[in-house]
Amino acid sequence: MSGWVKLMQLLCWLTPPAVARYLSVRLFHAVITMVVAVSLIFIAMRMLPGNPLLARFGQHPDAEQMQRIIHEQGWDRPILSQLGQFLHQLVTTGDFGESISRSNENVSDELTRRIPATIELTVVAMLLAVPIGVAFGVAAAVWRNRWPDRLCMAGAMLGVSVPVFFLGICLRAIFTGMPIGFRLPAFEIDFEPITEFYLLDTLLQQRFDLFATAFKHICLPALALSSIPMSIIARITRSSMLEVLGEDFIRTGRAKGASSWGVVLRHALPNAAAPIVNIAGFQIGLLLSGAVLTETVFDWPGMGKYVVDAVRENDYVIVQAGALVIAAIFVTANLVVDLLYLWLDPRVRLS
Amino acid sequence: MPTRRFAVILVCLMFVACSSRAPSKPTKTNNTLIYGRGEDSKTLDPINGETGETVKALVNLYDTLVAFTDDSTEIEASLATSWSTSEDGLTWTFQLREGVRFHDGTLVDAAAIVFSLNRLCQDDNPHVSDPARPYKPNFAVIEEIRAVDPLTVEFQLSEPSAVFLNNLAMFPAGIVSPTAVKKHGKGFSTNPVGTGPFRFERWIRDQQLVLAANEDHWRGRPNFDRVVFVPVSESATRIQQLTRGEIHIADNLPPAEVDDLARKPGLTVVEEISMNVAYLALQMDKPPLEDVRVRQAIAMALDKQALIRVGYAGHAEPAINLLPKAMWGHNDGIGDRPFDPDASRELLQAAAADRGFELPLTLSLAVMSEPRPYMEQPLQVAAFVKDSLAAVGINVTIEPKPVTPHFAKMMRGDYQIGLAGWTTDNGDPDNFLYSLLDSDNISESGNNMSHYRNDKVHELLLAAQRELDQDKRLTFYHHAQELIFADAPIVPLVSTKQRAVHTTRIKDYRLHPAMLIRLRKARFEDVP
Amino acid sequence: MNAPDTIESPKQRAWVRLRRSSSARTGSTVILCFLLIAVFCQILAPYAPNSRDATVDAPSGPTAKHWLGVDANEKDVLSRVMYGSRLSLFAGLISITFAVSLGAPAGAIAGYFGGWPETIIMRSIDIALAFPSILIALLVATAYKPGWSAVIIAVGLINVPVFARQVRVTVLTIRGLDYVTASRALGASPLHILVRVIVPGIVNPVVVLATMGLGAAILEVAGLSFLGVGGDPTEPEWGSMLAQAKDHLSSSIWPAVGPGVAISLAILGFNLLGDGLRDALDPRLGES
Repeated sequence: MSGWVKLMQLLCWLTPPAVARYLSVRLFHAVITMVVAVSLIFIAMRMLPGNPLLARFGQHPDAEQMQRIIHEQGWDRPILSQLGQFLHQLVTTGDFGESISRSNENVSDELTRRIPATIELTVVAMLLAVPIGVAFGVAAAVWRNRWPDRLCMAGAMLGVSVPVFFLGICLRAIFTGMPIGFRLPAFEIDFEPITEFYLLDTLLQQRFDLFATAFKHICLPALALSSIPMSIIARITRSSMLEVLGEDFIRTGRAKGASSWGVVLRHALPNAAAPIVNIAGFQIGLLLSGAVLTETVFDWPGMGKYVVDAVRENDYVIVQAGALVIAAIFVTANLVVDLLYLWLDPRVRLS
Repeated sequence: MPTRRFAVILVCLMFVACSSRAPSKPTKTNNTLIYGRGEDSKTLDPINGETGETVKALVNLYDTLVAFTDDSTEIEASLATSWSTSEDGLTWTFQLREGVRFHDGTLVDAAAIVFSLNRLCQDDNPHVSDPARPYKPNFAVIEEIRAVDPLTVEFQLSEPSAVFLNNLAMFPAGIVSPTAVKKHGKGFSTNPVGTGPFRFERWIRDQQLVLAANEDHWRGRPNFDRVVFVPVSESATRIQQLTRGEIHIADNLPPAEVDDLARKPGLTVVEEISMNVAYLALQMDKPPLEDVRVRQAIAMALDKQALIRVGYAGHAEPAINLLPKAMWGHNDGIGDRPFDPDASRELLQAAAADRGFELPLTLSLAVMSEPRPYMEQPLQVAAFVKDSLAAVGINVTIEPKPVTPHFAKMMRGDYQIGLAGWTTDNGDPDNFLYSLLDSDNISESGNNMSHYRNDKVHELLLAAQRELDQDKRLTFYHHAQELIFADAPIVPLVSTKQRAVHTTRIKDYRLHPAMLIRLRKARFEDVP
Repeated sequence: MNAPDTIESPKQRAWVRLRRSSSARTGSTVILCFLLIAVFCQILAPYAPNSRDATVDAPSGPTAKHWLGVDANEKDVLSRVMYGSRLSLFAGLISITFAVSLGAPAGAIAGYFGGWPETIIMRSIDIALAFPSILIALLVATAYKPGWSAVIIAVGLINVPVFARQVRVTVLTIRGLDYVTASRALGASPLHILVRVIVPGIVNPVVVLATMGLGAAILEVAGLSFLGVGGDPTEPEWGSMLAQAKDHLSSSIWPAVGPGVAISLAILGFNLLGDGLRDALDPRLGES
């Protein structure tokens, strides 16, 4: 806890007062939003018919035992008092509690292993999407209304239209040589992850062979996941670049004889960056939701699949924990983007 | 410029990565079996196990007092070498095998047996970390377990039980190390210690479960050095991994895909009958299903041979009774109702005229959306039932739900007709007939989902539970099956053949009719 | 050359722009094709959606008899894809109608009245947007009894914020326009302003958004049924067809290609038309 306080103090010291005020207001809003949202999910899930405990008994349910467990765990108490206990426990210990449908499974432990898998997938997808998307967008803007433009924009249009689950199936069918289904092959049993980001862990342990393998495993899912943000970024880049290329200083620069590409990349692109950063950040949030389907198609052991499976079994402990974490990541991503936006384009007023 | 250069490099990298086919895998140790399955174990504590996938690991980690033989549900000695029953059938005495040690090195004695089985039976046992013990009711007949001397255990039962011995051979009665349970407490389910042919090495949930050979197993060391169970939920992914050599065995695959794989070089398909049945439950409390003619009409509208072709790619046998043909107690004397849509339609019309309901009748069909061992393609089966019943004047709407909510709904009786099935637990007819069709088991969480009530059947099933003379029991069960057949509370559909695909490198891998996966004897042919 | 342009009304000008836009033309052609297929599939489809062909080795690829192959249930993929357009288009349309009829009034109220209604509406939208929409839809759809209606409601609900936000922004802009302020100062009733000024002003952006939203809704419906939340799986529906084909990928990819391409084309059609409509109706409407 004190670590957090120190970090906050440091941040406050580093940031100008206006930004700090803006940050604290945003953070406050975000926290309120998340608390309300999680409470809603908490209440809604408990009102659903169906008994998640049944998953632990399968086809051998025993009414007497289930009754006992429900009573011992306090699941028969009023929903609001359960909600209070959940929030209290969450704030004081940071613990999400134990899964209902799975035996002796601590949800926080599970999430700490699965969140990195999802984030790693998202990051790699964005590392693909941003440069390629920007490159295509710039090309389209520079050769406006000529074939590179038409090709890039047609590709982008297709990219936003093909559902990720169909794209995934196609990729699997085309690249049959690529491994799928694990983050690392099952026989690599001597590998002990540290951060659970396998690409990072393999590098830290200097296991370059494993890094290559892990990269191969993440390729197809990341490629599938990147298609939509890549297309959207290409389109935004194009329109933003067109706007900037039409402005006086660029035209002047070109007229003065600066090399055309130099002007485009050194002057136009940075000036067109703000909306691109904005949309890229927003896409990171969306990817976490898109990842649900990608993880299903590719059997990627991430958070999305974990939560979807839990919805199937009506396990509200997992669902509310997963929802909270996803929401937190989404809100944080948006906040970071807003700050970046601020930094890139100081004309934007803090409001 | 930097952005562009970076993009180009990235694209190149991607293509390099994609185009270079994976080289033949440099296996870490040549003797590690990688087993691909549909889902992960839910626990490694035998008392909490329930799902088929959980059992797969448990039967390799633990031994029981007595065991099923490798190819049937006959009982053979295991941790107990001999046993006897008192005259009244209330006291059972077991002599233990000497010198067996747990994976943690401690000795298996009578106290350990008492400790293990008390965890399973007692209400408030302090050593239970997860109180959800699905099989606890099967052991309710045990009143007391005593350690007579270090190698003798005595069970006191409340009433004679014909299924007691078979129940002791089931996985929940696996013997655990008391030392380890006391040491790990709640963590025992992720740090299991038993006496089985394999010992636990590590478990990362939903990624891999690693078992290692128990060098000192009393039956001898298993052939594999290690077994890695990997859960891969998409069957298409399992198939791809199998053909790429990333896993050595895959099971629970769609039947047609198995046929496809059987033609590929380097892969072998093993097949075995299984003691399971898939059936169509008819909710008898819901009109007009209370009319026996309607139920019989439904039974006669289903062409089981066609169903086997469409839903099982030919790898199943038609079922006549709830009890699978492969099991002791099956009444072979009962001939199935013929597939006869005309007769079915007539029965329906007669019932409709008497009861005053309109034809075509509309019924909702509950179906699970995920594969089960007795029904690898439930949606296909549902589609078949729908088409067949449409032909005789019943419009069916299909309501798919995931497995848990599906069965919860059916147990509540909140359905009209629904697909279900059962795989034997202990190899005894009681486990089918009493569990699934006795009036004792009608409740919010009872498996008599048809709400079938027949006093005569109830009497017969209870008598068969207490009778220790197998011949008498056989007549009871035969009689009960006749009554059930006439009442048609369910329509038995098929018993499947279980199949698994493995690389041809593996030898001596056999499936068990009760669907136990025993990896003790299997081996790689190139490993001496 | 300028003369005809000047006498045209804004509507006519928009129409000319729309007709000139190649993306609008392509998009509307694609959608029209799907509509025709949906309406006339009984005539156009070579087989009934649930008729089985026991003579083929299912699943398999295209043959002269079955142009898009046969799925694992021995059913003709092309026919099912054609029949599937009914449910997909219908579900998309209903859920977007649902989203508009809930989102547009909410947005209008928030934008026009401000104050606490705005706070409540915008806060709830923030909450809804904090979660992945597919997760919300999944929860909603599992909560109801299974069926397509649950899926439609779920997809409708997750699209409400899209419309509410856009309408609020548009209303805010319109409200600030000089002539609106002026007419208010002259004593025009709020109802009058709402009906005569605000409503016409929000029609264009809502039409553009709804067209693009239709594509998104079709995608979301298919995504949900791909995840196994849906109605009767024997009914031809693109998402559930894909889900069933996915289990048989190693035998044949063809049962997946038909529905997959159909979903992509339908979404592409609505996106193209939406792009064209946006350029024609409301050139200022941003990309995001």
